[in-house]
Amino acid sequence: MSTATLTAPAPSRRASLRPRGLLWSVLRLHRTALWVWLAFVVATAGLLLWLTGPAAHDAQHQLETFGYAGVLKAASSSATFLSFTSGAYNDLFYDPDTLITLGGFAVALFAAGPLIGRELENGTAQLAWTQSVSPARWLAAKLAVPACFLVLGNGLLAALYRHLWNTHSNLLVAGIDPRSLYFSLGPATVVAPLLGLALGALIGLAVRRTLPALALSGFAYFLIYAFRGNHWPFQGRYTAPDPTSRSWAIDTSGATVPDPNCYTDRGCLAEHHIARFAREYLPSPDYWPRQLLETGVLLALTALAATAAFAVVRRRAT
Amino acid sequence: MSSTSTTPAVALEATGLGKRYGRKAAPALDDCSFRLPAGRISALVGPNGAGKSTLLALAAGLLHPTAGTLRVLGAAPGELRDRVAYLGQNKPLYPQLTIADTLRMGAELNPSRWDAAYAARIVEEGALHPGQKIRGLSGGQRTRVALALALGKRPALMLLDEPMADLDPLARHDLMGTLMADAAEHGTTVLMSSHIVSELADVCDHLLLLGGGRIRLGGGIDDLLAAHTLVTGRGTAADLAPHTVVESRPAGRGLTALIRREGPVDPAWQTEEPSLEELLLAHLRSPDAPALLTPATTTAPLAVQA
Repeated sequence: MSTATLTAPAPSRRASLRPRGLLWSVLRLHRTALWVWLAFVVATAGLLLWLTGPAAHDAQHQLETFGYAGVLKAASSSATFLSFTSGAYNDLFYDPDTLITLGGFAVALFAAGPLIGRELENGTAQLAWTQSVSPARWLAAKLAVPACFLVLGNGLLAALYRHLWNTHSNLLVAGIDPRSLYFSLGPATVVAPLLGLALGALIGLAVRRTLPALALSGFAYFLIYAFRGNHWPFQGRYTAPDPTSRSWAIDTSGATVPDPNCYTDRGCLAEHHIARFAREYLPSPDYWPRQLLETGVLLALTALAATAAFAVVRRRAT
Repeated sequence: MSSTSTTPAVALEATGLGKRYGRKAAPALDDCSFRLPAGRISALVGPNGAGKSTLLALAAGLLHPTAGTLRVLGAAPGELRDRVAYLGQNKPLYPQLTIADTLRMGAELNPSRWDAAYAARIVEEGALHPGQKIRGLSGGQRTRVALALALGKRPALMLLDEPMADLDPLARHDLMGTLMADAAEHGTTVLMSSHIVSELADVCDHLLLLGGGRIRLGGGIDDLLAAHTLVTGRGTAADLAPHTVVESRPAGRGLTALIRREGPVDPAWQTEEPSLEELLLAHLRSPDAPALLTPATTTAPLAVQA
């Protein structure tokens, strides 16, 4: 070839830690989303730490004094109708779960809209593909960078939540809610938003229009949300809620005795020489099998959706 | 390059190229074959919907052809992304970025070839401040930034889809000048679609006329003009045989016709060389005229027609 090849002057910037190339471009384009995500993680982590620490004192005191009756008393102290804003510890305990679920929805919508769909609709994806970047590499960066932030953020939140569960799950009113929370917390908490990311990207690539992609992606994540925790067909029969309180009392001699059923009657408690109560709610031997099975299935679906997304982008452009 | 030594290096070579969007739609390109020699500044013209944007997007590796092959700088489309620049019709840019960030993106995504000083100069010539957001720019200013992004990577082949459509005459003149100076200095091949015929005559030395999904007219503009004659006189179109009549229309008592000469023209006819505009309009008005590709522009080893 006779075409003269121009060698660009070698870049003199050698700041090794500064993001380069596609990484820089993805971080710069989605800077706002990144800050929103960091704020979300910090706020949710703060809520979890608060629930682990100071917020639990009153409910803990009620449990120690009155046993399970104290837990029920603390739970019914709420003055508001909405459980999300109720001051009762039993309600607040589930708020981080709601936030993490909403975060997953936001991820799926973000992937279908701003991350992929809008770029295809505006033609800015084609702008990136006509730099020295192939569509497959572009998609890889678009998926990998958010995935890293998701794994780090949700990993931290899931770990804090597990810690909160181990510390204070005995302050929860027995029933169906603690059970479904218990089975949904773990590695699957981290993987589910990744599936949302991959599905959103796939839908964005296939639909190429922001609004329909948002709607479809929201619906897809709703399906994941509906099955999350303990409702997948592959998990077999849905296990019944556990209504027993699983609490016991300790008398002044230090011996473990059954709950004398005094409710909140202090005279009755004194009569039975009860020093304090303890409770261990819901340890379950099938937690890890269920959790790991769900994680595996979610990971497989994520891989499938990501592979399909790469197939779509390869079919569309070279 | 594997072609014979007499053929100049080829920037773009299409063989039986076809692209169809959906099964029911008519094909945008249909059995399209041509060759664009390297170093030419070629105008890609044709009626609306002739497949100009499709051809450019195929060459940029943004679409897959449904039939045939396309070679770009001797490789498959998309293989040499660092050496091919593409400017889409609607000049997509990220609205949330500043001009400086947009150029920075060009540097980050074209690490091997980026010429930052050159890209910055193109932007500065438009009196644009690097801190301005793309969102706040006018259409013409956006075109300038998009062009800076395309030129900054120092491409060997530039594919420009209606590059000047929304520029004011002065900016158009300036930017065309920048583009052409760059092309002349570095031997860049340019393929640019446009509707502004007068402009093409000034800057382009090569022409590809698309119609019905194929190249109807292809070659150096001087060669194409020289192959045609505008004749005026008394007579009918049939009297002009053996010449190929591209278009004829009545003028006074006789007719004016654009012909492709086959040998000398009967001196009874008044002859003149057509302008590029006349050549294009005549071919656009008569879609059934036979195709003409000059030897350097055909893919076949032998020229089909002289």
